[in-house]
Amino acid sequence: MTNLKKELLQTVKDDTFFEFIHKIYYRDRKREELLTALTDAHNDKEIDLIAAFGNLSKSPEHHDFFAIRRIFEKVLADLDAPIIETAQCVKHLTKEAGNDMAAGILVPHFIEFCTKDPSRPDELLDHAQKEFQDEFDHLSIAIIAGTKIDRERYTKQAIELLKSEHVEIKQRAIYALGRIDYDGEELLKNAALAIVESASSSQDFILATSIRALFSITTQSDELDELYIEFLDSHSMPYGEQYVHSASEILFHESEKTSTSIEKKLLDICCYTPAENNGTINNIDYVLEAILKRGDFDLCVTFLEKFFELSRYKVSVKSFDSFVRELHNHRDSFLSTLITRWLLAQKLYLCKFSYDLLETFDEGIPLTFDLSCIPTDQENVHLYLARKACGWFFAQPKTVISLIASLVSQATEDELDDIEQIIFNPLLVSYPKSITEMMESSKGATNTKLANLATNILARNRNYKDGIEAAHEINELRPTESERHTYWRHHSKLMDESMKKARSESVLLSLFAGNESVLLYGNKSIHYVQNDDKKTRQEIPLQQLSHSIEVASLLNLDPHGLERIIWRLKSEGCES
Amino acid sequence: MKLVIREYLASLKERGELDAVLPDLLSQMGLEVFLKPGIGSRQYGVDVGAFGKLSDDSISKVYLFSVKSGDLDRKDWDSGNPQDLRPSINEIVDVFVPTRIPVEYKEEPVEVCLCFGGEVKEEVRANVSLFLDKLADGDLSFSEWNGDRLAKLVEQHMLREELLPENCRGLLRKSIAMIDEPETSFKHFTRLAVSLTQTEDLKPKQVLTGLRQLYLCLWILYAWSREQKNIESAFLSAEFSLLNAWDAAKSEFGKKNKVAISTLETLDSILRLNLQISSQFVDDRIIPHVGNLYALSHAVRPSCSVDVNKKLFDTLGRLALAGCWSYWYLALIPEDKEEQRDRLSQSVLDYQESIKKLIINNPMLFTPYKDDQAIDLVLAIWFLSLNTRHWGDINSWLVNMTHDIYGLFKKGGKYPSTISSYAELIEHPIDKSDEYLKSVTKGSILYPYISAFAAALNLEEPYSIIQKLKADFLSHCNFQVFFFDETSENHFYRNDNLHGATLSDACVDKKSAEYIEELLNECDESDQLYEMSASKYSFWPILLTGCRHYRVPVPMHFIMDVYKQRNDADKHESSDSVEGEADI
Repeated sequence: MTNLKKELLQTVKDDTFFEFIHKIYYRDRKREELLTALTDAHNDKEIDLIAAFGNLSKSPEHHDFFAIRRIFEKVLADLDAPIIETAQCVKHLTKEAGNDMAAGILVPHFIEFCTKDPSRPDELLDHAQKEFQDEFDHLSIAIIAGTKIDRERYTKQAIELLKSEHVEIKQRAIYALGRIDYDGEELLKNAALAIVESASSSQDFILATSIRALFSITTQSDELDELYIEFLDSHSMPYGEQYVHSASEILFHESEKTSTSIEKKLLDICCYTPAENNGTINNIDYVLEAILKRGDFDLCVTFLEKFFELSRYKVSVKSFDSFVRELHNHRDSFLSTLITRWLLAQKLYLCKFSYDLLETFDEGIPLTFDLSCIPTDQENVHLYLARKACGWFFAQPKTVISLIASLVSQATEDELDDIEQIIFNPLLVSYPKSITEMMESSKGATNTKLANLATNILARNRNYKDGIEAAHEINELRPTESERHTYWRHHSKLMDESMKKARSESVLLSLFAGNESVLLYGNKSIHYVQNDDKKTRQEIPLQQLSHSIEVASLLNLDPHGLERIIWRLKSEGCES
Repeated sequence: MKLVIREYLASLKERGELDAVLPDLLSQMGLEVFLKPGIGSRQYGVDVGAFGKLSDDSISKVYLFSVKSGDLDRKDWDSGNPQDLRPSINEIVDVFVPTRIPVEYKEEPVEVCLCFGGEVKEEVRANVSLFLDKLADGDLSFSEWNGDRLAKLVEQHMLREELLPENCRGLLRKSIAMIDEPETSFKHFTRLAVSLTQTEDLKPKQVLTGLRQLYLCLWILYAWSREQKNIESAFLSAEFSLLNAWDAAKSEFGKKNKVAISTLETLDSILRLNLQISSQFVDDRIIPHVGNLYALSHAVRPSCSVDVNKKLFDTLGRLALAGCWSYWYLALIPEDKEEQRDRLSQSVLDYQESIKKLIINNPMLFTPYKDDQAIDLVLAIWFLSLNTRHWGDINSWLVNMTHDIYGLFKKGGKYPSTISSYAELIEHPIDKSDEYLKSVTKGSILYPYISAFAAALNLEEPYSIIQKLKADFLSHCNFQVFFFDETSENHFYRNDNLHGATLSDACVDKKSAEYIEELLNECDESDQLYEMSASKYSFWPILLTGCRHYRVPVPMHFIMDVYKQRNDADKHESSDSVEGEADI
């Protein structure tokens, strides 16, 4: 008996078994030696590892559950143990892991364990049917393991189980069929046909499993594409949530195996995603991002518009954040087109989603309308778009003015008069600094219409500014000292609360874990770094970070009037 | 103190300022003032004439004052302008002395006083001395009343310790020192004004002295404020002084004795000074900018929308009040003085147009945040309603305002509340709960007054929106109307105690005719308004000034008078079938 084995036996007696193996495996790094010792001790019946790990619990104060479970994973396949007890132990360790991503990692090792003895899959399959357990799927494990020993027999056995009246057994059999590595067209086709047949008029969760299993089977053969499309076509509305989710998972996880026609069909199914199913929406988001990356913008837009309509606009485009990020990589093309299209759609929600696309940019970004999307036969369409841009992107002056400027070359003279009015009030009146700067830069534009417009607006601004400056010295209108002080305190309180909230959510600050160091004076930090016996002095100059945004002056001068104007600009000519 | 007075005197203008202060000073010095500055040109070079004996003189003399503002330099002495001092002195000697001195003083020696707020500049000193030496003879002498001498006399005769105690002098100094912080400056001045207008256990002459001191102190504050380009404290102090002076002087109304007449003259001076300050604020500071979009809103330099809201409604009230005073003054002008009447009529119209421009170019005036802004609103609507041509605009204003208020309630925005604290107002509304809403809208004068105007002017839409507001959001709110009662006369002008009575649950939910009937009935029942001294003596703008200054609701009688006039006009129109305009 080796020393290590002896120590192991002692730790079982001392109840320090897990701590010991953790130490040997991770700290002492005697991995192979430990795994051999554990396997030997178990197979020599000196230690019952199945019983020991069957009691391992995920209590953070005791052990590192996942690290210890990993040691079990490594030895599981080589253990000589009764299948049912082992299955119970695997079930326990999987359930104990909870919702962790690593919860199911033990299953492949258990499958390998099952394949080590031809009787094990049979025994487990029998057990899984007789003592059906809702919370753990031993049935598919038994079938998958069995097919590794006798593919045909176990495949047929799985197909046979599709006739079961027990829907969960049926569902698990379908799942298992989707996980088998087929070797031969006939078996593949039989499995596919059996699933198609069993899934007709089935419940949502059966269909959800079927769509995935079938995808897995049909992608193993070039001849089964049609069968899959037929399957998808045969299951029309209403789609169940799990079915839709499975469709999204296929699109997300199997994008490389998905043909264009199937991708379109699956996207059609995904259009029916319920608004509250964030998981499904997240999958679709990644899918749309990938589709946009390959340049198929129309497919994305068609999907989104149908999805929004079907979900009654309860989900914003904001939920597709990866897609939106990708869209911003194509500002001059896809983003510009999408905003033009949605503002022209005369639907309040699509206009709102246009705003959502740019929401994260405080001051806005330079953006142009896609003039090719603007119908030429529609009267005042440029004015309509200018008003929409002003209404929806009012908080982002840079965006509004660049969007409006892009319309000027095509706008009629009448439209230009009204556009000039919009640019002056509320835009310039609210953002005198940024709009004036932009108009100054447009004054010398090669486009004469734009240059004239800028000149007119700057002239109006001069009059407006003169009026304001003339009244600026009316000291009698100033708020009192006490009011100014009260507001200052109020503002400080708001800033303080905002700062606290931001700090509490800061990823960067969380790295310091409470070891934040505050300097009261100076603008450099001096500290020493110990390198072996040597101390190195370091000076780090402090960096000043500042960010400013121009707040609309009308928010103070006429907030309610502004709100009214903005709402009118947003909503006019649109249906909700 | 002398420096304060000296600076004040140096800043006074000649017409209506330095010459207006002089008679009070001379009276306080014991002289008999027989000539006071009038409107138009001076009388043969003389601005003020008085008779008596100065403390350092052995005999009584006739003192003739020719007043100049500021320093006396070459251009004021003799630059070819008939208003210069040298030709004025010639006129006095050549015309006034032989022909205009009252008969009873004909034989008395005459002293011509060259009076100016500043000093004689060295460049003309020799000219002045030589000229005066040449003119002087036995019964005609000359003297120089420069800023230093005037300041000394003012301090000695009007503000000396026995007359104006040190604490009052301190308050005046503090109010001047804090002109840039008008709230603080005004606080000090109110204490001074209260002290100077107290009448308890005082003889009429002492009351008169107090009023004269108040007038002088107000002038000093105003002159300093004007120099510092911030007359806010002076504006508020003038209103407060007028109201308190009215209360102090009202016991002298109707009396014919010398002290009573002097008291009323001083009250009149305070009233005129109040109007002058108000006019400077409204005409010079506000009206030039009412036509410029957002100019006055910007001028507030706001930290938040509450700043703009508070200041603009306050400005609206001041502008409307100035208009009311103009309208009142117009009624005093005899029918035969057409030119003057036309000028004043135009002035009233200008004020009305200015109010409309103020509203259009500063849209914050569509959304009152405070319930007591109803007072400013009522002043403006009442003043506008004097001319039917503005009724359409009143309707538009009220329709938009009531719609906006409805929207604010619906969205949980900054709806009007009874919050008076600025700190609470900037955070309002702190939440959207019903409990909070109820707590800050327990009562209201805003809606009943809007309804009253809507009913009086037959404006259906605002009336119905208020009904909807009441039904949808304010069923708990006590819509109320304020009336003067028998205690109001004693407390209104000084605001030293609660007074008046409130009609609760004004029935705006009923038809407008029923609401009007309810208000008319209550106006008949609560008719103490007509017993107020300001009403009795036809100084009704004083009541409006008090309402604005002390934030007391404007008596409903004013609005009901508009209704009665409209009703009469309607009847007249239907009987005569003649189109007419109930113009001013």
